[in-house]
Amino acid sequence: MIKLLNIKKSFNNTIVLDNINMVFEEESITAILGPSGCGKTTLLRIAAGLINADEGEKKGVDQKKLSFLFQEPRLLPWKNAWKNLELVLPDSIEKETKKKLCFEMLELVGLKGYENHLPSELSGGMCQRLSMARAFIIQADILFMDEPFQSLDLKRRDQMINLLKSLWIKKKPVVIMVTHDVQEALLLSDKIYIFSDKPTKILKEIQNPMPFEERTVKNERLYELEREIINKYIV
Amino acid sequence: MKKNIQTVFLVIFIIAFIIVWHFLSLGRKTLIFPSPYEVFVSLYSIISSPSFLPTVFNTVRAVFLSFAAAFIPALILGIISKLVPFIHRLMEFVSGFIRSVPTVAIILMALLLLPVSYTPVIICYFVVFPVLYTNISEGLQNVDVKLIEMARIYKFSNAKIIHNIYVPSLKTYIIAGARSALGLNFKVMVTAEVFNFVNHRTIGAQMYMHKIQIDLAGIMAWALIVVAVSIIFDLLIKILFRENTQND
Repeated sequence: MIKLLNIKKSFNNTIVLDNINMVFEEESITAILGPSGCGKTTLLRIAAGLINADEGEKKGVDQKKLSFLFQEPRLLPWKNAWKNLELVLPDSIEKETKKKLCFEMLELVGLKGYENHLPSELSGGMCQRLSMARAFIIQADILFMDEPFQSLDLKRRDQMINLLKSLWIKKKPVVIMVTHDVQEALLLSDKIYIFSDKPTKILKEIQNPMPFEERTVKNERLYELEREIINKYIV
Repeated sequence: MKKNIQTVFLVIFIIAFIIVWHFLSLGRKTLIFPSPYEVFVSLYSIISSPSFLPTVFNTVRAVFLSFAAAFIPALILGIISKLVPFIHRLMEFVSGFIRSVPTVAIILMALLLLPVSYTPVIICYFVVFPVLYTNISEGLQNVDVKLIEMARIYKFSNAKIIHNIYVPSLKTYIIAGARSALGLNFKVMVTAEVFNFVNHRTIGAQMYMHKIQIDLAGIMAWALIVVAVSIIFDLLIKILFRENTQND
């Protein structure tokens, strides 16, 4: 279990996060939903250890294996697809085994045949899939996601969400995702924290009533819940 | 196809240039304006002389010596300036200052203050160093912080970060810096050799000899040789680094 306790963060005397307390259960996906610029990415970066909070404490993150799906793929442009994956694998694994693991993972994300392509030779969607492959190949304990589907069209976003779910189910790492898209949060997460605008506070903590398998765009319940959340907490 | 068209245009341009040059030289004395034919005759006589290769070698060796002497401190100071903001600001000022000082002032000061045999190398060092330092420093400052963040998440070791992020990011800046520094180095080296007459077997000294004999064709022939040598090394850098990049 991961806990963020009394997290406070200010930038240039402006309070961005004010006394935030959150809990992320094992084998669960949690979404942090809020308006743009409310500080959700800052909170995610604090949780991942990329920046420090001014005050507060985080528990259950240190010594864990982390991975991160960023808004942009953040691939090394001079490395081909499989070498981008190989880089994140521990040095203790043999080179041949690494190559096999990378090729298998690339096949899983639908990039078979593109192993030797540079990121510049892949489309935006393919780069995001490669970035997702990198996030899952290390079998992390915690996966952070910062609006990774933001730049994708609806069809591709749906494909990516399904792909993520199929990869997640294998090891079920704790996923902490940040989004401003209610539908995206409902399609993926077990729990949703809704953030207010600055200074950010938690408006509501919601358990997703839809079971994992039923969270699809074909489920009418998704749209009812989306409308409910928008009307109650966003508009 | 596009490359072929460019080559054809380049050849046409060179031929047109030689034709225009030929017509401009008609009716003028060789001393004032030699014709292309006279320059090519002079070029042939220089190249076929037994002292040609040692002369070019001496200048090329001095160019590379000063290049290497400038590259190593430029790299070290570039790294330090990335780590220490004060050094970065200080070096910005120092390299900007050296860049602004007229080359001829550096040459004259070096001739008066330093041991004569080293002056061309030292002069070139001062001209080339700011170019290399600026490129290396800029390359290091522009390393994508997002990639460094990614590396921190996936717990890359420092060696892995340097090898896989810093070095490849810096490569394009080093290539650009090396190409412009080397081209500049050839020009300044020849100028410094003209002023510094210790070794007769250098391109600058040979140009000076032709100047004493009022042999403009000889000077132009040596100028063509400098251009050719400079282009050859520029191409070598391009080929060398292109192959390395493809191997990444």
